[in-house]
Amino acid sequence: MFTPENGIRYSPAIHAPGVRQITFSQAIHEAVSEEMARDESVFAIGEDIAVAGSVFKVFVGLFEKFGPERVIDSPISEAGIAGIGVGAAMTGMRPIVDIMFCDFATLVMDQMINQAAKTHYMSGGKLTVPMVMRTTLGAGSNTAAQHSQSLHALFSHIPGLKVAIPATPYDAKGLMKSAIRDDNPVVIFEDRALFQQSGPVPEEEYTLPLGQADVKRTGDDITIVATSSMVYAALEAADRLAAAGISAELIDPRTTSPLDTGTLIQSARKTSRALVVDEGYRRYGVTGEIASVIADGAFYYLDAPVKRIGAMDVPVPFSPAMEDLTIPNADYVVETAKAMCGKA
Amino acid sequence: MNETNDTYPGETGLDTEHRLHAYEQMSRIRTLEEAEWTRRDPVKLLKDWLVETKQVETEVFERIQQDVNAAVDDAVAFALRASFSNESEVELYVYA
Repeated sequence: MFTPENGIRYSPAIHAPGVRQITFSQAIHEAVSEEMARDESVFAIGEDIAVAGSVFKVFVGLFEKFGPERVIDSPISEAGIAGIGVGAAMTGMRPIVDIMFCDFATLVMDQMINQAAKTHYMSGGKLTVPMVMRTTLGAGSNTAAQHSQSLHALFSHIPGLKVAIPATPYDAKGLMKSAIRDDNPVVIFEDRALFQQSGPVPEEEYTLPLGQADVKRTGDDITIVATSSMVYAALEAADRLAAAGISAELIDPRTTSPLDTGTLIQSARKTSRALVVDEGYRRYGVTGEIASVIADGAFYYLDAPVKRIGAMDVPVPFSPAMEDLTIPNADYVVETAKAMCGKA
Repeated sequence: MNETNDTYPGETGLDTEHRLHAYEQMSRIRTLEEAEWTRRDPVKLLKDWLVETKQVETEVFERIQQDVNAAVDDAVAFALRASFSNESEVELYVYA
């Protein structure tokens, strides 16, 4: 489903010759390992993250390196783990709470929405909740309706939370490190289908600001805004559009909260068209917010209504044929972009 | 009133006044079975264990309870004294 990226315009620092390639999974591992070594208050807790190194193997080796008090296997109780995270964060620790699938993040809603997101405000700034909740999103592996959702819109809706959805190993590492150092609760959504994706990540230490979009490819005729694994669908689409004479610019917001509205608006003003692609359900999805920001900020520059593509508004089906139908892909992006440019 | 009222099973001895208040309500809304479970209150069990194994002196718990009571009383007094937040502060402290 995902083609290796070759069109991504990485920031200059990682264009340098000889920059090593590591996987998305290794990038997250490095970020967590470096931050745990840097700051003793950082610890991780979650189901099967210690001895097993997490079910997706992202944490393999951390338990051996940092021990059972800093890499903690928890009972199967998402609400409990998140509650421990919130309490620990309020009292001086920097927990990383691991929720295997974002479908199970429904079980941590009270802790994240009513506690983590509210504590700083309700204490008049006296308390902070510097925690990270990392979880996974995405369909495409026939794991049915309860293990395939992309629920980042639910968290993006909540004032007090920050939400990151990295697409590349470089972004995943830089955003994770910033999230751990941030004094606010940050939720990071990683697409499981990206874990083996390789990309350039410099050996030297770096962080990426939360709230800064990245221009993954420059173009003139249409702006495609894409998140997480949809960046790869959009890249493939951009290649095919180029062959059809349409030059697409690709913007990856990298965080939905805070949202880098300036970069989105600026790009749409330049190209005069904008298409937003995200794997969450289309209805009330993050595409709605992004499209609204662009329509508002670039209204007088637009040659077409802002369009958006999301997952079909049905539970993600188990049947492979049906599942493929419900999730956005390069074909949908190409068709929609061509129609918007009057070349359908 | 039922027979469990004579020896409130969850009694920690940390704060008699507040516990008695809870105890009065409990006699009306809690069943005997629930009262039985409070005998296994992990907070009480941990405290008893720490005292019995001489890891912590009883006075330490009394002092903690006094500190907590004082902190809560101070906070209540402060809140009652304080004026409401100003409109200009509405977006303050959403993020740290």
